Amino acid sequence: MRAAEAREAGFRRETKGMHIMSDYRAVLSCRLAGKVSADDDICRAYDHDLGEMPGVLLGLFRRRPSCVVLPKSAEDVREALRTASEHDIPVTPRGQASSGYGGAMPVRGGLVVDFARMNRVLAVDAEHGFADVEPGVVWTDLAERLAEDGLDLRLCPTSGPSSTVGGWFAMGGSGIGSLMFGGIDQAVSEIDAVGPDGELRTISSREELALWCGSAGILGCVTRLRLVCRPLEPLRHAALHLHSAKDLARLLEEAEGMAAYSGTLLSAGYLALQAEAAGGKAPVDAGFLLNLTFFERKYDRAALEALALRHGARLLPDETAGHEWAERFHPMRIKRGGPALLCGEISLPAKNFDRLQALATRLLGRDRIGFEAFCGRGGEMAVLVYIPDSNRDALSLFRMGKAMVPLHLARPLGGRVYSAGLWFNCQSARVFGREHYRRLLKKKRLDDPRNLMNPGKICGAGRHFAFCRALSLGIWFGTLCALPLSMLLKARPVRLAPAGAHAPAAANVSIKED
Amino acid sequence: MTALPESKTLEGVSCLEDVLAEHRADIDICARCGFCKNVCPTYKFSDGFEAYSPRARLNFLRDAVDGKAEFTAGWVDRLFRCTTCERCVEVCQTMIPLVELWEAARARAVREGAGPMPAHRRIAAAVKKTGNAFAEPLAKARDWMLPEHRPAERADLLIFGGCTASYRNPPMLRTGLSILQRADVPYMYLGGRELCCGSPLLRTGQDEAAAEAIRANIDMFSEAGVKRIAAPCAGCSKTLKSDYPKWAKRLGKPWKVEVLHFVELYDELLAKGSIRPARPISKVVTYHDPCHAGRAQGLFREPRAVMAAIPGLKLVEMPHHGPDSRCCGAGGGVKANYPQLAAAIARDRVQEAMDTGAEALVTMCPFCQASFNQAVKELKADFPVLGVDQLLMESMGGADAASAGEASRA
Repeated sequence: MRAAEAREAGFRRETKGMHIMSDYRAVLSCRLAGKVSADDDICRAYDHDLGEMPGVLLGLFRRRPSCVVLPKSAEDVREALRTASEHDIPVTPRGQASSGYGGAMPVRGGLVVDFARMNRVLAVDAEHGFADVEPGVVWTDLAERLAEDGLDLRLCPTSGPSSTVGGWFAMGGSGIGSLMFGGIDQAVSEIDAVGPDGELRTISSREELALWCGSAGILGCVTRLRLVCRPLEPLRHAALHLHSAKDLARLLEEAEGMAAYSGTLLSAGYLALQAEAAGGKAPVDAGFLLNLTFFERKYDRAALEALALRHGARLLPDETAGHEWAERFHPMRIKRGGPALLCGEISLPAKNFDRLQALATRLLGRDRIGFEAFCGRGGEMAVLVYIPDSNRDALSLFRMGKAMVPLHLARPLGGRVYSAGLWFNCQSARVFGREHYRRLLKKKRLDDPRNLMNPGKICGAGRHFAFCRALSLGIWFGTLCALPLSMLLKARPVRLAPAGAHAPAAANVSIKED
Repeated sequence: MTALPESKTLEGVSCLEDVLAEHRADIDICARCGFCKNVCPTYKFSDGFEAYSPRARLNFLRDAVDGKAEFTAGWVDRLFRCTTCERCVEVCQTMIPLVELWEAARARAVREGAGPMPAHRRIAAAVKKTGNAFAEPLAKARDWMLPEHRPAERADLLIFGGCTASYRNPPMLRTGLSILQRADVPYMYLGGRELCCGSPLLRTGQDEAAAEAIRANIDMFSEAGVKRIAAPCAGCSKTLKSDYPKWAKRLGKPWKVEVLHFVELYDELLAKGSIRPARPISKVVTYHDPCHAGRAQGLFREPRAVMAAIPGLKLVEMPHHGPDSRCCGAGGGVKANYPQLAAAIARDRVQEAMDTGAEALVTMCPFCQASFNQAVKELKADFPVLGVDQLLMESMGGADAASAGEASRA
């Protein structure tokens, strides 16, 4: 009897939900004519992000939104969120979905707010060095626009040619330029944001901005960001070959003291994968390549040589440094060695990078492994560990656990998962720090008691969030228990032809074939 | 819907579909980074939903190849909105041969009866009936020739006119032949016998229809014993250069021909000193790299070398040039079936050209020139669209250069 009642209640809930859905879509279509689609084909393109997760997990989380809106102004966003709130519809904001933490996945279906058409640079103040932009502006497009006024970005993610300003702010983290300028939270001085109630607020206090940064849209939708910029000036690059990463923290500290703008550490394994994918030769066979970038006016070759000498490193030719800088937006090129790329991403104190690298290399000794790390201010690093694999055989599901090995190893070394999003919401307190997390949770519960804004991510309330949290815990502890199995199974990458092999008919002279 | 078979044989089936099976792993290596989305000219002028992006198309294609998705009318429409400009290929981190995949997907849509688009069907019908894409009588193929043009009976070099240059932009072909005459280069011309190169059919997935024309052309080249083929059109030269070798193999025919775009010939003749542009042309121009000549064939240096050889001519580059060049909007059957989309893309490019402060926009593809001429009219701008060949001829003191210019602007 109880089961029958439960089924009936479920049915009522479901049909009521359907009724509400159709209502809200009709209302939204009226209010935002021409900017809304409920077409199933259109909606299916929004049910995933960059991440490749096992089908079993995706099956639990993957939901197609019932409707997508493309706002063109803050007023449109207000209208969308107001309508969703009136009808109890969950909302998932979306930038470029170029992150793999599930932050842009509409795990409860509902409405997706795609910011692709809110991509205007609203104002550039060259005198005071800032720009007001809409959230859908793409980083490299913004850099082009800023250059017209003699400005440049302080920071840029390696996904800069596609990722959006709003998306990275919502994701949080560091990237190119972080050695000098810190994380994205340091580059944004003010935002306009629409809360779950549809109200637009301007936020400029450091404390509140910090809450919004990295919050994955669980507090609302950002509609304008004020970015602090730097003067446009020529850059110089230097590549150092390090035999080990033992001395890395001190070296980076000194580089920071030399006013290095950006620093990227690439392991020989990563460089080998990169060279194979592009059809070239790796610049070093062992150890690491540390690529440092300076403003030309601060570039001091003699000081760099002294730095290299002090740390037993070797300065590589400028062409090597230039090449790695040119490749800075192509970290995923090594996916050609996959076709799947298992990737673990962590934040870690630089002083412990050496230990993490040694441990991970030992435990995953049967696999090809590459490390890429972005140096941040104050001795922090964002580390990506790559293992190329295939995803077409039955055991690939179990091998995916390899991506979690560095994450588990990093924890006792003072490291943490790089971002919480959906998959690691159980790690949110560690990602944000307990105090920050407590304040975020308090605000979320206060502003969004129905858990409508990007549900399932970071923190929240209610049964659905509890389900998401339980699954995240399951992923965390399940992969921890299965570590021996993950390590035992050797990755099976299927190496494709080097990228150059597909270069179009660029052989512009004769093509002769029998 | 069933998953794609592992492989296919040639005769009577869609060869382009083989590409889907061949590149199954390439589909898997998509990093979903979205670099392609940000540069795609048709996405920019779509209504902005993700489904219009190349990234979404590839994701759909993966599902379709695995039998998890069907070619719905919406997806087929979006597949056919691609200009095959290869901007997505250029920026793809994992270097997926995306345009090959789009064409293969179109071929599959055609096989399933979901494609092509109506205008593309008309092109195939025209090629089948008349041998050219514009349904013009083949006899008209030589109408544009000047008395000074004297093709040889036999020569190593064959001039392949192509449909667009022969029937819609003859001045481009005429000027090219005049330049060859002045350089005393013997050439053959088989206008009246040559059929459409197959480009508009291959680009729109109609490979069975294309196969007939390709087979006839390969036989014709073989009979004529040519060693080199030169075409004024970016589309024809790309097709002859990159598609014909594969098709010859599939059709079991020999292929030992070197294919050139006209601009490569000009560059070669300049290097040999066979032509000497001496008359100064005091103009500031900007240059548009046609997608099928630039990204598809790597012809970036040659047109610039030709222009650099013209005294007084100053080239100012657009922000997007070379491999980063934008599209004119016409390729891939888009101008035929989605004229408004093509026009919007062309206007965007012409605006970029005008913003450089140049006096004229130069290019070297009849398709691009036609699109830009229309865009200039729509923008009500006084901004001539010229061919590299026109400038070269003018600098060589060519008599027909002026008329060629007028024709091009008409």
